[in-house]
Amino acid sequence: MKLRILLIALAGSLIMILGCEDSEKDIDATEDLILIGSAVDNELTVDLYSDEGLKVGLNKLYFELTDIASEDQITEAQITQKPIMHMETMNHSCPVAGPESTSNSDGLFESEVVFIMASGMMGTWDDTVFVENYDANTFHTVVFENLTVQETDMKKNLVFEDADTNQVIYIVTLNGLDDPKVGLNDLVLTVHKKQTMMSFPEVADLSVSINPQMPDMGHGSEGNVDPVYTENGKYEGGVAFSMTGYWTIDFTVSQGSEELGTVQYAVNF
Amino acid sequence: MQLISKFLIILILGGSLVAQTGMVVGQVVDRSTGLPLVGANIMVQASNLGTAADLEGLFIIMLPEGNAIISCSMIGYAPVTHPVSVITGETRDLTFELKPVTIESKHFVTVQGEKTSGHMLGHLQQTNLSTTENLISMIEGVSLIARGSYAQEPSIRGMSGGRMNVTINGMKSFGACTDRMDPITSYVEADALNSIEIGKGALSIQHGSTVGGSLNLTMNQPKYASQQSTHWQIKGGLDHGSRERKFSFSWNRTSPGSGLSLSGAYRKAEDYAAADKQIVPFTGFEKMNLNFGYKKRLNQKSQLLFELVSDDAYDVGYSALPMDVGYARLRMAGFSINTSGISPNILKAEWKVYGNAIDHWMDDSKRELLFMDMHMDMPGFTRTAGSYIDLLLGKSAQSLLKLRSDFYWTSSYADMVMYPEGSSPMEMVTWPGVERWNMGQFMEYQSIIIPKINVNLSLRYDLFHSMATNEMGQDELHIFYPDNDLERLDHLLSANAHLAYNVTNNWNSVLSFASGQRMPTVSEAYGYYLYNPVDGYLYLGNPDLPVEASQQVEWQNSLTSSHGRMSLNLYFYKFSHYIFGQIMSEDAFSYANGWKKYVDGGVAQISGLEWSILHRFSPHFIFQGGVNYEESYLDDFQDFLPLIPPLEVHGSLTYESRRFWVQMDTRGAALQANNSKVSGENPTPAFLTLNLKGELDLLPGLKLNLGVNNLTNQLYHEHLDWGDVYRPGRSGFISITLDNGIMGQ
Repeated sequence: MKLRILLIALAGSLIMILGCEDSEKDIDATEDLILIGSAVDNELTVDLYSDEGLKVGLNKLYFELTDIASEDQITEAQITQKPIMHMETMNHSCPVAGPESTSNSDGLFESEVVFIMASGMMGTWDDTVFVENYDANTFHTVVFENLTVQETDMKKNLVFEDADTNQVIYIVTLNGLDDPKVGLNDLVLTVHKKQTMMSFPEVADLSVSINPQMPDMGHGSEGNVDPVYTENGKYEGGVAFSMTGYWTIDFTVSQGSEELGTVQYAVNF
Repeated sequence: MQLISKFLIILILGGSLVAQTGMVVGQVVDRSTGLPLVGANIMVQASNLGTAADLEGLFIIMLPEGNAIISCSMIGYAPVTHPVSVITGETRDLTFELKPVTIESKHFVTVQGEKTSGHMLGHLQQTNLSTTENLISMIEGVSLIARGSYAQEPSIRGMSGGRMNVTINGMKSFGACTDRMDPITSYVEADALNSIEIGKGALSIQHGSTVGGSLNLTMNQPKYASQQSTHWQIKGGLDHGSRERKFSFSWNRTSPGSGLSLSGAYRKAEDYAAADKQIVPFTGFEKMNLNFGYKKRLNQKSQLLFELVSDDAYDVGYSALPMDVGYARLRMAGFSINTSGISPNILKAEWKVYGNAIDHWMDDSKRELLFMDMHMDMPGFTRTAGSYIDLLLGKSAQSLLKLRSDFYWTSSYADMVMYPEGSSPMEMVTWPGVERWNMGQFMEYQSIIIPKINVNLSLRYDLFHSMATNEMGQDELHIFYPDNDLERLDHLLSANAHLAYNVTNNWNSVLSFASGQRMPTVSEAYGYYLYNPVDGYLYLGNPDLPVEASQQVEWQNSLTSSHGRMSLNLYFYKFSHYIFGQIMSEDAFSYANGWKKYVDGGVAQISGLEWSILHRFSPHFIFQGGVNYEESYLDDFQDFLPLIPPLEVHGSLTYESRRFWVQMDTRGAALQANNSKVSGENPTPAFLTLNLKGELDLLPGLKLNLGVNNLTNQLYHEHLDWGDVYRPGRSGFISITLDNGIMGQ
């Protein structure tokens, strides 16, 4: 009997010790990120990370620069990038913001890319990255090829016919509702203008109103927050789901007193 | 708290210790059943001294040294007198066994809690098919809210739900239906009921803080007997209108040291027809109830009691709602120890611990799809556990102190799932796992200051801790209350004072003042989009609601004689922070007109009168009657309060003889045009109904019960009925009672 108690106590303390050791591991800045790819150019490694796999809609990207010789992280640099979709008959880019010219506290350079199309049969995405290393005063170019961009139904085109009957295309994406819950959900709407196939400037002067509806019930919800412009074409607001089920969310976009149109999304949970 | 009560005891007892008195402790029981007679009058001849038997038939009276004659009387029983010689500082025991004057009536509803005005006793003949609600509704000032033919909700002077405290043998229990379709009274079978203790407004606060009143249902308890014996009874009944079948049994084993009782009832009813011969759909139900009790004497002074209640209802139709109840289930257990005379100052003590669980499943699977091709479920669950300690302190009936410390915990969860065809299920949490803890301290002091004047003071303090624990439910409420942590701590204080004056030997006049408070209910504080079919709005709870408070003044007068009793009560209530639903949106969709939020509705008032009479013309004829009237107003909304009964009259004439009784009773109400428009009520037309019933002893141990309800086939509904659904039309019933008397002992 005594032996058994001793054994149990021993096993217990062993588990405790092992458990403690486990939690003493260093936390890596990129541990929670997903490595999209690595590219090398002339003594410089560029690692590209994102919060999750790339998808149609708003993606936050992180660049980590490492000097191959010294294995040191480079935190003083200027990075620019150009994602391009290669299709059979044409190429096009997508809205991009950044990276920031200064690295974050983990030494990573952050940027935002709004993918407007999924990779696959229709074409492939690559991202060309130019780096100016301030420390070494060197220039580098790397290309991340064949990026996998998952399809979502969170990107819509808002087509507006202006006074001169010119068609203006706004690209709208809805983000933040991958895991919707009952209650108030934070959401980010991005709005960019499709100026050319290569240029997608942000649109900052819009007013957006939100209207969620539950078609099976015929009611909406209370407590929604109309998205308001913050930065980089982003409009942040909130949608309140009063219950689970199939919801539609209408965003009505206006510029001054002129209504540009409405985009509708569907959420089912 | 304890310090204060000790101080009070010293203060109270100080005065009486000086007097040269002795004490008489006694009990009043029914000679034929051995059951205690609640409210029996005890009078000391050639003096002004007197008292009434309490819930256990017990009384205590303090007498000056010398010889005295004590008489005990109760309507329906032959009075008994006992001589007693009192010696200073000593206690005399006395037992009064009263014999029924005519045949024994199985069902007596005893009404207690009207405090020092004495105890009102209703002599109401019941049939085997009567329900607990039927019994309760015969009490002056009590009405029933009907949502179908099952589980009608009691309302005291127009106040119901969270404004009332309902307990079973002192045990707290909370209905699990978000639409209040399962008031606690629905889980108790009338056969198992011994008496109903009622307090109006905040005049009785022993069982909890309240503004509207309290209802304590006391169940039949196992009995002792001088020799070991077994009693059994079987009843069977049939109602023509609803084709209700009822079967019930009871089995009692008694001995000098212990008692065992088992009883059960099964009833099943189909949809009934109203007077216009139209079947009222969704009024059928099926129900099974079981009760078990075990009582054991530990010694001369103490005993323990163990009780179990189980109640299951299936397929209960609710005609006034778009949904029915698949099942409603109660499981309840209680254990108590009580003792009398532990020490000279502690006259009685009781400790009780209890727990119960209610599961309630509401769905519309039996209904045609009302809208959008979808069915829905609305399950609800409550769990409650608690304990209390009662102490009765004092040296004489001239000054007594009753103390209660109580505690309970309750948890409520409900949700709602809708299943649209070809689309995802839609779910929401409607009671977000609300946990509530309550700790209360109650004290009541009774004293005869000078002969003819009785004073009764009660004080109650409650501490409530409430919180919403379900994460999804929290997220839902945070839409509306983003900064609220959905947790609250409340301190409630209630008090009342009664001053009773025996103007003459027959005329008792009582002036009462009460100040009550009540917690917002789970629905009012944390409910989420709960549908109310009366006004068609969805109701949102409000965790910021203040505690509702009431001030109450009441003047009761009663005249008693050997032939009967007449009483008149006048009352006035003023509420502050009256909790009321305010329209927030009138955007109608499918079944709802919009949504409302519970708000502090400001000041509300209720005033009214109750008049009742009981008269025995001869040994065979008894007349009983009453009139209630009240008015209400909600200042801020410039509207009347909802669910306020109109002018009501009721009366019965009973003929009793050795072998049978016959009773004709009537119930009527005037037009209620003071309907609450904000709550979506309609005016309700007047009606008058007539019932006839009787009972015949065929053989010893064999009884036949017959009757016709709604004799004149009135097409009517009452103002408190949801959805203006018609009550049953004319319907005859028959039942048979068989007991061990048939064995010829």
